Amino acid sequence: MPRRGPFKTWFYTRMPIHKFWQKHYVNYLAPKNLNFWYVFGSLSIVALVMQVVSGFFLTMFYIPTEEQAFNSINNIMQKVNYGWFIRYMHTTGASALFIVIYLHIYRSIMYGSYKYPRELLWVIGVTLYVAILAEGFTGYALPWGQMSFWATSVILKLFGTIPLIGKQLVIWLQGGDAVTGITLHRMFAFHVILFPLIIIILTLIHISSLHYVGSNNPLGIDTSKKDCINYHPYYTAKNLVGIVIFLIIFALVMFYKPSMHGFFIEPTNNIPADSLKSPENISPAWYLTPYYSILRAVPHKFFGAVAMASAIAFLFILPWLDKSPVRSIHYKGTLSKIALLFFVVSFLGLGYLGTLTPTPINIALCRILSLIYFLYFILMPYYTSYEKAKITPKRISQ
Amino acid sequence: MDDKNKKTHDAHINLNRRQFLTKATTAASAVGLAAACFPFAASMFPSMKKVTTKETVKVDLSDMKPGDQKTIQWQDKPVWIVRRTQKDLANLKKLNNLLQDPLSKVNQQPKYADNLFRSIKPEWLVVVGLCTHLGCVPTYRPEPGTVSKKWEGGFFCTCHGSKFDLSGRVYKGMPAPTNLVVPPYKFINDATILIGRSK
Amino acid sequence: MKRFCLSICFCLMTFCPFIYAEKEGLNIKIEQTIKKEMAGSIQDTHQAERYWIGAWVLLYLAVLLVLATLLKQEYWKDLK
Repeated sequence: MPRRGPFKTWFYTRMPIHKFWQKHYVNYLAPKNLNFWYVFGSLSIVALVMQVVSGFFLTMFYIPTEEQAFNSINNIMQKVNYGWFIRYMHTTGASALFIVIYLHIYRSIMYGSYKYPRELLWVIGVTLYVAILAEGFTGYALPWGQMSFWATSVILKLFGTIPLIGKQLVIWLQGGDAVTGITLHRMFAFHVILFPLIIIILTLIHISSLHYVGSNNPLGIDTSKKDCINYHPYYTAKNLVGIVIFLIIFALVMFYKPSMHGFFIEPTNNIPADSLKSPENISPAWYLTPYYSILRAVPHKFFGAVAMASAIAFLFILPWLDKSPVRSIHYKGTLSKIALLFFVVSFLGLGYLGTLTPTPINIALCRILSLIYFLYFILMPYYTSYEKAKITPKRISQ
Repeated sequence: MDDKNKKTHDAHINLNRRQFLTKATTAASAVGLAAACFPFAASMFPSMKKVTTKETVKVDLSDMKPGDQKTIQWQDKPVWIVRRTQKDLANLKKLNNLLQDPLSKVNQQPKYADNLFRSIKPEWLVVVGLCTHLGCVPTYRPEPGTVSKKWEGGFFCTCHGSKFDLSGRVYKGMPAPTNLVVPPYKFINDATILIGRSK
Repeated sequence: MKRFCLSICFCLMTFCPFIYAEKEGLNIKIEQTIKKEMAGSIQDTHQAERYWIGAWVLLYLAVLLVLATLLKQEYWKDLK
């Protein structure tokens, strides 16, 4: 027992927060072979905190009305002290959060972190991802430029493809026949209250359930205490390096290339919303474009929306599609490796195609890549049980 | 790692170096976090491009009869202009021992208003209409005996009960600590004043 | 050898959609960037200040990176 002052003793006998801190941070045992892919979990928390702080300050100056929204952003950029700093942190932060999360998800797929006993952890994580997508979408509407308006309009119309209730649902979501200031105002409410709350609560659940089942590792094998080290100070120190590198890249973008060639801040969004004229090429923010491509690939309104939704739905059931006896890609067969390769390529390709205009060639490419995307999931039970997995080691070697 | 290995290893660890690096990194991170707070805190100050402290207001007094009161908005604050009667002015001289700061020693007025009537011309009172307690707007009560039995006319703050005389001087034992603020102003001619500038 | 073939395959596959995709849309996007950033309503009037502050932030982060790397190496000596 370390010696404590009278205040600490008084406090800890009533509220032992130090135990919580030690269980979830200082004495959390993590496998000693975690590589750089494992930094993205911590990085997503860093990015989330940055979003919450910068978002909170933006809320002080942003006005969520049809007439004032666009001007208030302009006001933030020009008149508010360091308003540009706060806004660019938020816009860059949104994209940074998604990059980090995509890499975090890729890590989990690569090392089989969704397999027993972490299925629920994975499902919570995918739910969290969906909540963050919703947060990103609602935030995209708020500057009320041309792209905000039309992307909101197009994406909300997607709900209209649901049979029977679709039409009414869209009216209910928009608060009218079309996207108006009323829609903007509720987007704001969702963006600053509901979705952030859900994201924060799910993050806490995600972390605490991780600490119950323990971290996976690049070898994908079960680890005993002997293979583990304390999170603090070893992973604190290691993650700090990762966080600083992340911040360096972040600062480079934020201070020198905040619009990132139109991917982080769309140039079309520098024009105020005009409900009478849609821009030449409507595309959602880059982090939604893979799904947008899948939507474009299907020449049917309802089934396009179904394909888009199932692209995310397949992620939820991934733990039950993988029949391989091993977790990590290192010990899976060649088929799994090739499948993962194709999956990554299809996702990147779809994302890229989603930012382009839908010419016939682009649509054809979208179709091929969408097919590959879905085949990765649909064929997974077959190739993972067909191929021969390598023998895994019992312990992490020194 | 087994214990035997650990012992031979520990000998090679330089604890001083380790402590130094831990402290240096912690200090550097703390400095960085503090610096990162600066732009956020700064954003909450009014921006330089929107400062209104140089704003002035011209007021026409020609329509005011003795006993009239007028409220003007100046720099987002209410400013009162009162045309006091001769009787009011006579009353002001008798109140000294009921007041907290009858001689206006606390600097709440420009030099030229540091007199019994707290004004340039005795007849005209110009004060910022915000109670010095917590900034409510007091009410103008010129009729004697309306607020209390000995009330000689003045301003009464309904928020927390502070009383001021017709020179904006606070009575003793009130929550408000000081007299009302007199803004800088000047007479352009007999019937017009300019609030916000002395010269 | 297998690994080499795989990585070549990976590179080709990755860039396939990027090579064959019709980039009309992207060109429009870039043209718009140029046009709208000049005539657009949201103007960035603090560019010089931004670059200057950015330089200091990067300098600070570089120092922090050195410290953090040394600290990490120091603690991870325990595991060797």
